[in-house]
Amino acid sequence: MTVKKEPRIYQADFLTELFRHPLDPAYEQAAEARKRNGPLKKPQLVVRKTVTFIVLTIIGALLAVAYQQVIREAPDKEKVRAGLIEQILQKRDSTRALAQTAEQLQAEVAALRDAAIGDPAQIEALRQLDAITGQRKITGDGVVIKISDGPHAATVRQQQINHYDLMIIVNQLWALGADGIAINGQRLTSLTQISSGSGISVGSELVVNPYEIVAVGPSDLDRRFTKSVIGGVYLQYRDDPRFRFGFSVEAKDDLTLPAAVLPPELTHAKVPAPAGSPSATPSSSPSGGGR
Amino acid sequence: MIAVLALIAGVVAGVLLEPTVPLALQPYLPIAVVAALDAVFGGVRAKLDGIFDDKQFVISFISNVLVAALIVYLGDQLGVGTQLSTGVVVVLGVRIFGNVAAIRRHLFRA
Repeated sequence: MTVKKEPRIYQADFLTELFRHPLDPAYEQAAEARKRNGPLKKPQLVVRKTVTFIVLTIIGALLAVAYQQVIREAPDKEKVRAGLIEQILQKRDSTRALAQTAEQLQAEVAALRDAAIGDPAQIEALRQLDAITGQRKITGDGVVIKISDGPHAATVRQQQINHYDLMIIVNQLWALGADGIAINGQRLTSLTQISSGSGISVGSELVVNPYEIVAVGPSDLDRRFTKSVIGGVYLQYRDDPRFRFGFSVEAKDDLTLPAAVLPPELTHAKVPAPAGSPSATPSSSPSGGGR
Repeated sequence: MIAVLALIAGVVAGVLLEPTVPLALQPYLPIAVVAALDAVFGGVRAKLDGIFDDKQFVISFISNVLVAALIVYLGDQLGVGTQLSTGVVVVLGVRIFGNVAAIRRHLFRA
């Protein structure tokens, strides 16, 4: 009886065997055993049928529970997403509120300083300096330059706007006499760096595509820019099928640039110590002098 | 016939009672479902072949679920949980397909 079948111990290829005999071999063995020993006694049969019934009920319940679990998990993911979005919006609101407070405080400081200085000519000169260095809100006519990634920027690097693009355009605008520049609402100062890390940063803020460079300056700034070498290059490359990034230059009146949020401390420059004070004298001179 | 009734009763009970699955058991649920399907289709095929055996069916279901869960658990502990789960699904999936094909031949002679 056992000689009839190939021995299963020497299966060389498990997957082939699996494809050929998907049914559990134990079923056949059980059938053979039944044939040998005759049918089961009635009480044993009833017990087995009952157990089978219970197991089938469990399987049915398992299917239902698994289905419900999948259905239930979908809104959970949605909930997490919605929660994250809400957090982002809240943080953004609080950032905005803090920026407004900072601006108010800066205005207050400026007013107090003006009162302390007293001389109108000096105050005016200081205000001009403040506006140019980005420490004061500035309004006026100027130009809005919109530049954005091309449609395939994710894969085609030539269509991607990088921080050099922004730097070159900003430098050109400064050279053409812009009084103040902001990128995506971030005011530039003499201390603001445009850098690339994970994305493009203006100062400490991340800016994302599309980029809007707003400059306040001479009323013909837009014409000056489009006539400049940099403006010409970008206008020409915009129409080149290899690059296809978004680029537009538009003159606009009554632009308002926010004051820059200044870093709390200068990173490299130091206030020079008053002459003759002890800290100004070099302290390393006696070391190793005699020997 | 009774088997189908039992399955339906289970589904109804699952829907009505809405038992919550403990968080620790949740990763095993999909694998348990695949193992259960394998046992069910194997049972149906055996029935059609005329060699169905209650004891064999119960044992194959329980051992399927336990072994599948053990493999997933070990995989999780070793950091290869997804790969081992894929392995389990492939093996059981092949068996399900083979058995369903046999059932199809029985029912439609095709």
